[in-house]
Amino acid sequence: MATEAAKVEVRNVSRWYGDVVAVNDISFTLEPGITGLLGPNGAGKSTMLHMISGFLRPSVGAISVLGQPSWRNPDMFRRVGLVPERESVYPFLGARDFAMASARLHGLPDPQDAARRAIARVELEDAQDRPMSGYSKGMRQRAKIAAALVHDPEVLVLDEPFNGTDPRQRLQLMDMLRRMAAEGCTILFSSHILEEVERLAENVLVIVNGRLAASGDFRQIRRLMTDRPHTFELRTSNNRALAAALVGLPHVSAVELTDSRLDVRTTDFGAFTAAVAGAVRDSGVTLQQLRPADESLESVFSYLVGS
Amino acid sequence: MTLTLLSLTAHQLLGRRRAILIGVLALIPVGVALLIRFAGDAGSEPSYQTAADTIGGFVFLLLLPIGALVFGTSALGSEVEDGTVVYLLAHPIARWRVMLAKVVVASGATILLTVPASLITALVLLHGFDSESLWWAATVATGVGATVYSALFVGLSTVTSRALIIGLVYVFVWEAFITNLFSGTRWISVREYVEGVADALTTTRAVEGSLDGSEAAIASVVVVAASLVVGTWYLTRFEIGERA
Repeated sequence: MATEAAKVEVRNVSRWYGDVVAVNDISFTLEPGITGLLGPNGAGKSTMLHMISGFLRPSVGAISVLGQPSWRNPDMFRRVGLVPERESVYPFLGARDFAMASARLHGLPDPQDAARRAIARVELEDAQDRPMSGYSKGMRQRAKIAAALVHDPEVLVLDEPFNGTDPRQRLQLMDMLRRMAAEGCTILFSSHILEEVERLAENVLVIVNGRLAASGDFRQIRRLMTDRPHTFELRTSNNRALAAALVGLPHVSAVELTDSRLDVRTTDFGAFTAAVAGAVRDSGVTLQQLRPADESLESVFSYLVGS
Repeated sequence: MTLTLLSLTAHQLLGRRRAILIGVLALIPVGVALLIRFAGDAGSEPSYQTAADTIGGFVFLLLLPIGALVFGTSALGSEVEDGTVVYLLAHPIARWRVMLAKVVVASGATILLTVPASLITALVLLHGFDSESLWWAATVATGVGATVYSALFVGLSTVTSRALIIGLVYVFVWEAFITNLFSGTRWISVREYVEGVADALTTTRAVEGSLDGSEAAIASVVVVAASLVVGTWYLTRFEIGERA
């Protein structure tokens, strides 16, 4: 049984095609908010999303969405929205008719109003009556998202939703997803662009070679990687003096002076942050900046993929 | 909901270039009938045998299975191929409804293509006069055949992505050769059902079916029902990740 708060629960799920293992014993839960699914090409992201949306049967394990199994359960889509990766749409429909068809297939009482609201959400009003065959890739993406939103889903699964969108459209879609998450929607999206995931996702799931390499807040994940030294950037009134004080600390493995800053590598994130204030005080310098330099998602991802 | 399903499928199916190309096929039996009527010796007098042979050869053997094959395998297969099927399946719709909509639209398109061709061919060759109800028999048999073939091919497209090739083998190897060699196989030939229905509805001896009318009707209903059941079963277990 899924826990009450978990909108999506994946338990010990594996999926293989013949001899090829696409997903290997993955477990996680999703709660309201935005989760980014990250991984190199062929890592198993799409397989995972297809299983969550009920379009692939797990070879072993179980997936429940809103407390119900996702496999062979079309009724699940009353509360779930799916934006598939493939670009194809009905070329003869405009975005409004596409959203309206979706609303009708959901059996909504007022499909016109539902379609109007969904089109407004993705800001596609200007082109809504033109056939989608003439849409740009970004416009098709927004039309697909509108069709998936007509019924105000509690869980929204998006496979590479920002493909083809321009920077302005991307920002607008990100704002929209943040608003939906703030209203309690559980959003899972995959992306191969680290910056998108970093900017949008509160949590990340990193899949590498079909295995879940890490899950949670990527800054937390980074801090748990104790086998990788952490790098801090410091700017002070006297970098050289502070460098001399820090190099003696047992958990500091390297100190590098550049023109304007001091880069310090430490094997213990917690011990360093606890000790740095004392070192600054003892060396009599003024600390102007202290920030972790490798807590970006890119660093975390490259560590995970490279490990 | 059902109307939306039908309308989306019809748009997908009839808006395609292949529908136009298949439409041209429908002109073949009519063109042959006109040639026989106005340019051939046999056409100087109305002949049930000539009409039955032309309809049998060009409608039952060619237009009907090819039209149904194209529409039947495209109704769902083309959506699987281009990925748009996910927009239907990601809705809370019972899969039997999807399957039924596909069969209804594919059958409707095949009927629209074949029945007028069959009817016009009969009327042209019988000079508009028909005391043996051949035009009626041909029309009903064509309608039945269009429905059975279409259901069969829609069902087949849920089972395999190679439905078009398998369908061609069924029509041009199984029905054309195997059924003629082994009489027991007539029960699994839609062409035999079509001829059986036509034979039952006309009084002319120019049409001869190896199944009688009731056998053909029962077999037709069984094939349509089985196609719907099998198609629904596969659609319920449809794994879009592998094929779309």
